[in-house]
Amino acid sequence: MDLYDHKGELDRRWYLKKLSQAIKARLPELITQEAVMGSAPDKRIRIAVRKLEEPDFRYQPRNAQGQGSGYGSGQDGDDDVVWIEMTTEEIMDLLLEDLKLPRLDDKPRGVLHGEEDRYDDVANKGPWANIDKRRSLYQAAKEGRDYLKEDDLRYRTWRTYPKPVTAAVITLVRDASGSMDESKRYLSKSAAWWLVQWIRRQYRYAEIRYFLHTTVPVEVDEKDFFNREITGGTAILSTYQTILQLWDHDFPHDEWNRYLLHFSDGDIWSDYGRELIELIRTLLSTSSLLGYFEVEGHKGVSPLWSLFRKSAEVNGRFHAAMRMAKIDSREHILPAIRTVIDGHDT
Amino acid sequence: MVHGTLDSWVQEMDQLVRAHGLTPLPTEFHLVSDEDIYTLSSYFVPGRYRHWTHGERYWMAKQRDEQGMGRIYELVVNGDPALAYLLDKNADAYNVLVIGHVLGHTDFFARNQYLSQVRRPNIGMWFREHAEWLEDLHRQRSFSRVEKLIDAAHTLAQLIDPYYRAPEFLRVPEKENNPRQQKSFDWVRELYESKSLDSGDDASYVPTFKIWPYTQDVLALVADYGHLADEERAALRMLREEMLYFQPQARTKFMNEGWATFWHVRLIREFSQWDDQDHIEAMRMHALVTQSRNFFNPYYFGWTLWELLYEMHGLETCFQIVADQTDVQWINQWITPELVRIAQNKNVWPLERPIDPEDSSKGTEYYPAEDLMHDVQQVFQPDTPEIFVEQIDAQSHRLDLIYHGDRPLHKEYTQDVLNAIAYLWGGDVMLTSAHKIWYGNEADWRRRA
Repeated sequence: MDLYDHKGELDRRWYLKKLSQAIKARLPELITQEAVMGSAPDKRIRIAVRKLEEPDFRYQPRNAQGQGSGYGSGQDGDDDVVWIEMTTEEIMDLLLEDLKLPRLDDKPRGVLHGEEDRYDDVANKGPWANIDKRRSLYQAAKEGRDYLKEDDLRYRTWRTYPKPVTAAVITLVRDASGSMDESKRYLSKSAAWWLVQWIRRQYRYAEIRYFLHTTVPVEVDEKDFFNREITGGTAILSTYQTILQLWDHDFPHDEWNRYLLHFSDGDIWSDYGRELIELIRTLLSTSSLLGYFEVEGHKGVSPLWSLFRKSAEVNGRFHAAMRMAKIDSREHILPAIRTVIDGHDT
Repeated sequence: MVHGTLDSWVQEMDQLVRAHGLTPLPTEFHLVSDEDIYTLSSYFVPGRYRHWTHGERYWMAKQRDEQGMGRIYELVVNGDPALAYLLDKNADAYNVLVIGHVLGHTDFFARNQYLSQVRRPNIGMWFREHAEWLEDLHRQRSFSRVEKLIDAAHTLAQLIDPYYRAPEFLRVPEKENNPRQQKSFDWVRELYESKSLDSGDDASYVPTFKIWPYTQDVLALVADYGHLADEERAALRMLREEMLYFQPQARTKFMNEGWATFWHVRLIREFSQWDDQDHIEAMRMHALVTQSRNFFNPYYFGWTLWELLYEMHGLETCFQIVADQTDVQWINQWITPELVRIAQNKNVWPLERPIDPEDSSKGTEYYPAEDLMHDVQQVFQPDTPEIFVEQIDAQSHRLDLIYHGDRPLHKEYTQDVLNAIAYLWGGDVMLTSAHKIWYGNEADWRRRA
């Protein structure tokens, strides 16, 4: 009896493909959980996803709460739920694969690799459209035949060459001042962690630099960036000056795409001077992105937020390199990253 | 240890069954691996077409078995011969019980009027042909186009109607002609007279309005008149045929499972080719399957109801019910307060109910027989809205559906189904109800993930 080999397995994969959309919707709730954060890339995580239902004509359920977003609170019993195991790596792929660094221009001495396909190889198998007639005939001619056999056919095929096109430096700055309490630190670190993971995956050769700042900036390595705490007041003039110096020294504008990502609660002394505005404008004009994440900032407009607004607005137009987003809770982290990187409005 | 072989067990079971007056269909038994039983139980029939919903069921069955949450022991297909699949990793004692259970099912298949009406010979081939047709379609069209076609057809499954016949299109009555005028201006009248309807002639295909007879069967209508390629029409008709094949099984599920359980209980009492130990094993399995934790377990509920009916009305009546009825009729006609009281006295149906279903800590109270009867009948009430095709406009290719009920329809799902119909129909689709008017959007269905 043939039961159609492994039809069930094939259809299970088909179903999984359809589910991945649902998983994607469910993931943002999960992403800041410690289970995902900071774990090894091959760690497996179990996620409960509501089964996909085929629509049909049916009555509106009488109780009002039956509606919701499609993901119940687990009251529906185990039958409606599928458990899915994914690795951290797969989760990140799902979440961040379509993000691209904005305003990434070609730079002559770049190390970030694009890819280029060149048709310069020959294969014995391939699509008919790619038959290399000259080589095929040559094969026949070598054996003194004037007709082609199956074995004579040669196909043109391609090889993929890495093509250095551009270069990027990403500088992450985290406010470590006294006003940053435990939860603000947690939020800014999570957001930074996701960004770093994403950069690592998508732009392997990008340079990442880390800074903590209070009134003075401290350049740190990755480990310290996520673990070290210092306290003090808040000033960003010196920080930006230092970064600009570093950039101009190591990463000149005409050879590097420069990105600055700043995490802060926006609580700075509001009597900043003209100098700071000028400095931000310089940064904006020489970098691809100045992304500002405000973590549990003021209810209204924080001083830093309004400072950025003021600086980025020249002749009534908002500078394309300036992007800002607010993170008030864990659910906002991914949308905020999308806002800043993708440039959608919140 | 169970003596003998599969053949001898089947033979003995068959003799026992016939001694009881059962007349099962000729039945083929197959021993299959667990992988195969997952597949069979999720596709219901060997060789059925591929679809992601089947993949889902397959996965669930596999997961449940692997986690020890429940195993599928058998699958029976209503065919002639009926096909029965037993799980080879089961203990022999279990499989003996399953053989008895299967013969109960095939007897039910043979008796019940609705189940005997479906197509039965060469059932495996029939489903395989459909699968191959759809597989070809996957190759001819795109995979996603066919996926959407099947998905759309599935949304209409509950509206199919075995008694569908192609509608007669009723034209709007023309104005009464004045007989005097007719007489004197015959040649003028001929000029302007509309020709009689001729389906073979496109030019005379005039827009028509009401359709008769009223039908629910949107799928058949869409397969006949939708803007589809001929292969797709054929595919839709195949899907509809399959739905019609499964419809009576869904409608007799509780009776059927109950009947099979009713008989396997008797058969394992009489079976001789095993030791006491195996008999106990088989009883253990019976207890497992009929766990009464959930009252509406079809095995438990169906079995107890058949036992009660057997006791109260005798076997002949039971045979008559099996031949004539479906679940709904069975429940509504035969569950009486008297029967419920007997069931409660025997302690097979619940005697108590929680005071507050939300909160079990408040304890339980007496469950009056009338309430229990009412609740049971409530559960079996069909819970699907009745949608009818109201009219078809041939010229603008519009399909109007109507819903007369007063309970509002599900917001999202109804829109989805309307989109699906529009996708198949290839034109405007509208559903009118007292609460809202829905318009189908073909593109939304196409765009759907």
